[in-house]
Amino acid sequence: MQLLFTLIAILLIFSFVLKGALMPRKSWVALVALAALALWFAFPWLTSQPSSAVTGVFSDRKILADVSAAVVTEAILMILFCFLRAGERSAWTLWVPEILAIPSLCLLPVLTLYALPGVDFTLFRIGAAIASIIVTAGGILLVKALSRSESEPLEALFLVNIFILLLTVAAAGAFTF
Amino acid sequence: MQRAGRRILTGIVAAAGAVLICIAAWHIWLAPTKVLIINAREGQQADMALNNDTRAVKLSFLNDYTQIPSLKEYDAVIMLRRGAFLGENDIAELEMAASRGATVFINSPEGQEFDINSRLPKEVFENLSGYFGNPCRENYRNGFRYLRRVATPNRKGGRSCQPPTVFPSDLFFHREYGKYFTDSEELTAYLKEKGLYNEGGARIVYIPGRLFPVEGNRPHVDTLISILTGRGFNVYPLTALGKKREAMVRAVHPDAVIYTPMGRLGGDGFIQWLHSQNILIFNPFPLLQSHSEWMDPTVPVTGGTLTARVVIPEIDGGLAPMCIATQKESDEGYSYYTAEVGRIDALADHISSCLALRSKPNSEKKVALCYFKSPGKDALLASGMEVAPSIYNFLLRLRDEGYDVSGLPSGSDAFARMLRREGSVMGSYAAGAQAEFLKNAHPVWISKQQYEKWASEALLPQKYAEITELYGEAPGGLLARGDSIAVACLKFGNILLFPQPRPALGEDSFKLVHGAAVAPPHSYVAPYLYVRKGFKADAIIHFGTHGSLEFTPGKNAGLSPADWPEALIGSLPHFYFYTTGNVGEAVIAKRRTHAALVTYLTPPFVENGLRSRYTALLDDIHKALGEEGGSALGTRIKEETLRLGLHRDLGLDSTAGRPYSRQDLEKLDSFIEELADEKITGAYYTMGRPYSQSELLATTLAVAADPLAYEMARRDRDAGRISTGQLQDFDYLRHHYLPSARRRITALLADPPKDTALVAPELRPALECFNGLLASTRNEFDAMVKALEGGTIAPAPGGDPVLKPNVLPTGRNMYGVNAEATPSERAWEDGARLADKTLEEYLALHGEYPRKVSYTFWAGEFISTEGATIAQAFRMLGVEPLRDKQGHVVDLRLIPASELGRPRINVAVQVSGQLRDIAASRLMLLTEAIKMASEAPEEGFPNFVASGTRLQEKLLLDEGLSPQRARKLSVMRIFGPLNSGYGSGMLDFVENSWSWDDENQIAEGYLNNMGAAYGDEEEWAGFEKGLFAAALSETDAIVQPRQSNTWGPVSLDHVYEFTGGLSNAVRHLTGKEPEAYMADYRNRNNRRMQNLREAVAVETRATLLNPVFISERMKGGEGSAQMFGEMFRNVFGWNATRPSALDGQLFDDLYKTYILDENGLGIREFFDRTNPAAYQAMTAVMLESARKGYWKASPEQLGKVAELHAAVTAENGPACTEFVCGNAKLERFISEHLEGGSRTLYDKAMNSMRNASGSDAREVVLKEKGGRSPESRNGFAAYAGIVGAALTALLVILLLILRRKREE
Repeated sequence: MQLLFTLIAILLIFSFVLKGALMPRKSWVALVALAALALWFAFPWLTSQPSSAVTGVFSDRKILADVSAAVVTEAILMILFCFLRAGERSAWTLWVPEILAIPSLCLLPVLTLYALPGVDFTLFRIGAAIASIIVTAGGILLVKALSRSESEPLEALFLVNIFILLLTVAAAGAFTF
Repeated sequence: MQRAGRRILTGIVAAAGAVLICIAAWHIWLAPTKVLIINAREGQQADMALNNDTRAVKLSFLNDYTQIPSLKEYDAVIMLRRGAFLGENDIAELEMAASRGATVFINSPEGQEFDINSRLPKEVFENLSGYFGNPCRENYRNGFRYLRRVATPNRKGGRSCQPPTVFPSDLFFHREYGKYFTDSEELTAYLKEKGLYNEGGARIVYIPGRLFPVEGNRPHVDTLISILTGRGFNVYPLTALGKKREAMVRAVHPDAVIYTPMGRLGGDGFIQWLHSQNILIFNPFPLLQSHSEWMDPTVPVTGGTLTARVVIPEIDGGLAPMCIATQKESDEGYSYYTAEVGRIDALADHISSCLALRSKPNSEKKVALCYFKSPGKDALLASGMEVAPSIYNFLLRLRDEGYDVSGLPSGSDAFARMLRREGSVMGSYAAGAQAEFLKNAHPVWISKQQYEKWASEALLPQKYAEITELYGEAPGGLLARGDSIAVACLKFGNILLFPQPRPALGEDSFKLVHGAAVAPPHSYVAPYLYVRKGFKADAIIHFGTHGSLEFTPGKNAGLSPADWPEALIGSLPHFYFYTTGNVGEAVIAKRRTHAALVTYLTPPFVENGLRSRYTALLDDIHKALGEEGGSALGTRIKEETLRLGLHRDLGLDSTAGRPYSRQDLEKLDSFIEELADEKITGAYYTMGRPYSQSELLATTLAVAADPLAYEMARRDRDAGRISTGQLQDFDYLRHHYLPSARRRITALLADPPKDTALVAPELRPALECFNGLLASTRNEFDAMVKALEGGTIAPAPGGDPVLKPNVLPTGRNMYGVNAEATPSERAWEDGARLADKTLEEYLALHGEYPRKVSYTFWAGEFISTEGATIAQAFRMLGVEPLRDKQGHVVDLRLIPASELGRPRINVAVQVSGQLRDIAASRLMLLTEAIKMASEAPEEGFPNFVASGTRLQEKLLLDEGLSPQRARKLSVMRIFGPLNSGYGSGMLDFVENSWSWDDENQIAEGYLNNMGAAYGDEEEWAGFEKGLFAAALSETDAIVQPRQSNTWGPVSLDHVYEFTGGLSNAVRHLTGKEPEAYMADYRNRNNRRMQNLREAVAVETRATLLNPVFISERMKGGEGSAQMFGEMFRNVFGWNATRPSALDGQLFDDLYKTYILDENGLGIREFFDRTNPAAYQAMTAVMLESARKGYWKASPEQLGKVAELHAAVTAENGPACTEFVCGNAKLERFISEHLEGGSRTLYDKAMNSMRNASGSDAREVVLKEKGGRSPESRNGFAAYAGIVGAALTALLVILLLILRRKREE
């Protein structure tokens, strides 16, 4: 279950990157900075969480149900966004919210932290923020470089979110039955 | 438009300019003067803040002078030095502030010595010295206004001030603020005028501290004066220093002195005068804790407060270290002293009771005497003492002094029989024995109503509730009948004797949970209440080392009524006969039950007689080492060594016919010499009966021969006859100087001169020791008699007389050590050397350094060696303590790797509760050292401390802790008993061996019970599941200190409890048994490390298996006999925890010695005569060891031991000690190895004792409910909604895709 949701988290980050590639520079830079700042400020809280709290998430049905609901909701929103964007390229459409990427960006550093005793928390915090910038900004730039038009990232975004939806439903089925 | 725009712009610029000008004007002329006060006490801060009556001065306070921040924003900085140690960085920061123009002043008696002060103009320096050196309301008010004037001369307002008031010193005062008197006559006249003088009342000088006459915050001072005056005393409060103070006290010539400031009352001469005049010294103190912190038993008194208020006054023979004030926070957020009126009342009661002993005739005095006994028929207990005859002798002395001791039998044997019959202690598993006692003895019966009434008067309601919660309503399950509690006791006239009952009864281990204090049961509380309220004793004596009252739950010092020792002892004058050899636990009794100690002698030392046994072998070895004799000699040596089993003790090869190498021969030589010189004690000491001449000689030799040998060798070294290397080689001294030293002392004592001046200087210590021993026996009773007449008991250091001859003569009130000055310089040298030696030995054995060494710290060793084992731990880490001018250890230095020359070795520490109480600040310092070493870079050598910290963090993460918490706890390495307790709780668990099948259970219990962290203030006494285990990971070696010649690893149970327990726990965790060493401090000139197995071998050969030792002990009575039982139990304990410490043949040897009596000593007859219960215990231990598989006994051996055990049981009844009576599995095992009639008789005897309905009770493994609960979150979405939404979405998407395709 932990592996499955970790995969979903990675896909959420992909989704974030793909959506960011559709945005003008200032917008996606602001989003990337926001994500990094969120990770920065969340870090002290993250370090005060016992590993049992994190792994407990993956074994607690109620929590998993909540998480699945949130993921599915956002995936549906992204799918709807894809349709919207395909039909209309107004700027406002770009602001369909996509926030689950931020906790996804937090999950991976936290899991890494449990495996790295003795690491300096401040350095790790800085590193995690920089890494999130590199991953997201780097990813966005890469997607922009590889795409000839907006259609490709849009289509990829659509497919990724379909995949997220399917995985989440499958995970929900697994922990229910 | 343009013009309008220009006007607007001009307006803006003008406004901005005006604002800037206002701001500038504010800063130059009007801004408040910012003053920082560093290192003021909290009460003083309150006084300062509330007497700063101008807004023109803004005060800030900094408590932690070791962390002086940037001082840029301050106009003035006042540092109250008050004992603070200013490091270079602190002074640099102050100097920087001064060079920027701030007014910086250090208030100190050595004010002139500080360069910073010399920057100030003379007038300013003098004025500031006046204001802050004479702290009072007016001076604070004027001082701050003065600072505005000098620090910010341009600023207006709040500058008018009066010159400093230099208040008079060396004066008397009283409650009326501002009224002073130059001498006691003037004060007396004033008191008479005010109607406060009590004609005929005792005089008490009260010294609260230099500042209190003028300090605004003195409610506790005033309350104490009032209450004492109301009790009929005439109180003479005074303030003065040094010689003037002494002169003022002498002039008053009081009956008692109350002294509350920090440190000593006076120099040695003055203290001796006070004791010679029988002037009692009381040392209550105010505490810098809030009332709730004080009432919290888990918040200790530590650091400077403990040292200066409690430890140091003990050197003066001070009494009653009671807390009389705490701190309260005002609405403004400042802390005030607040009088603890209940405590002041209790102190006044105590002083009244002590002084009343002077006037009350002895014939009318009631004295309660509490003695100690293990359950069942075993002997009365006191370390090294034959208790029954000692008590008898003491009662005879009391009778001679006029006390009413009517009914005392004419002989001590009859007296002992009465004690056994009437004054028994019951275990709750022996219901039958209990019923018999209640039927045949004559206890005092206390009705439930009476008991509850007394309890309501003496105990806080919540304390009584603790008892009923654990044990139910009175009268409880033990020593009860109907609605009454029985108090086992005997009365002889006005003297009451009672045994101290069991302090806990554990019927259900799950009731005794981690975090809950273990209240004593009704059966324990009732006797103390009876003594105070029923019998109405004038004083109470605890007889011998040691009982349990001082170890009942509560604070370490400055106890409140929420602490059990205080709750039970009340205000009674309390005296305690205590062995001089155990100062570590003695100080606990002083601090937690305000006991005045009277030391008694250890058992006399005797010659162990082993030299003659090994002479032939030693001669052969010396010849072989001198390269004489050839291979035939080598073979002979080998054969004899194998025959004696010495090869097993040293791990030497056992192949017959192959001679030992030179190295092995040297090892054998050293070991045999050690055996031959091993100091052993003889029969237990009986108080009132001096040592015999041979005992005096043997003890003097034990004390004085080694130092004399060293002195003789040192003179030869100075004269160039031997080298320094030879001087430091104890084996060399042993061969070449010790025999001569012994001869000289023996010759001296054959006809000892009266005057030591007639004796050669190097022989004087021996004569002083001899005289001290001679004087001791008389001194002991003299001191107690004097104390019972309200007199003083002279103070003295405590410890083993061999290590510290100045503990003689006994009969004095012993004190400990100033923890802040430890490790002392000598201790640092010793500790560093022993740490290096440990590593050398480990390296030689394993070829690599240990990653971690785990230590045991004990209070006795800490006091005697002034912290040498703590020094070992520092040295392992590669950290060195730094001292200030007073010798206090105030800082640490990381020894660079290049200087250390080896890896930094990780450490873990387990402490006894006693050590924790007296050395809390050292434990915190050690944690700082661990942090420092963890952060040190590797620099050419591995840093096992850093890697160990990372590993500990990882293990804690695996336990489920958060990264933050795991990081914080990764440097915690110091652990001790849970619930601020004193022991591991494992002795009884191990010895109730029916309750466990696997030694891993012992390990788990140990890890739980000893898992409280004592590394820093925040985590003090906290328990985190898995932390202790994580801290012990990677332990490669363990170290146990020993500093006394009166006990060893086999004779003292705590050694297997701590070291065996630790070893077992490490093996359980790592799968590998660590190397074990003893840090041996018993000889001042030969401090060394010794392998544990070797140490055990030396002790067993010199004592348990030594016919000379056995014969000597057989000269004693039941106490000496009981000791054998204890040693057997300890052998069992070692088998359970670390069997490799023992020789595999040991039980066979014990069988031959004690069952077959191969030496023809009359073993059976001795135990039959003195203490059959002990023999039952010994045979029970052997059988239980066989049952557990520790002793591979043959059927014949088992049958013999079982028959013997059954026969003793049948003749004397079941002894009902833990091994005998509480163990049904063992009873079945014994029964199975008996035949016919023996079995029937045995089964019948055991059944009648048990009566089938008795419950099994024991001190248990405290169950810990640990771990942190994971965070929980609310969930609110149902699965059905998710699936539905997902399917709907899929459908919609599919439709849209299809539609789009069609459109395309």
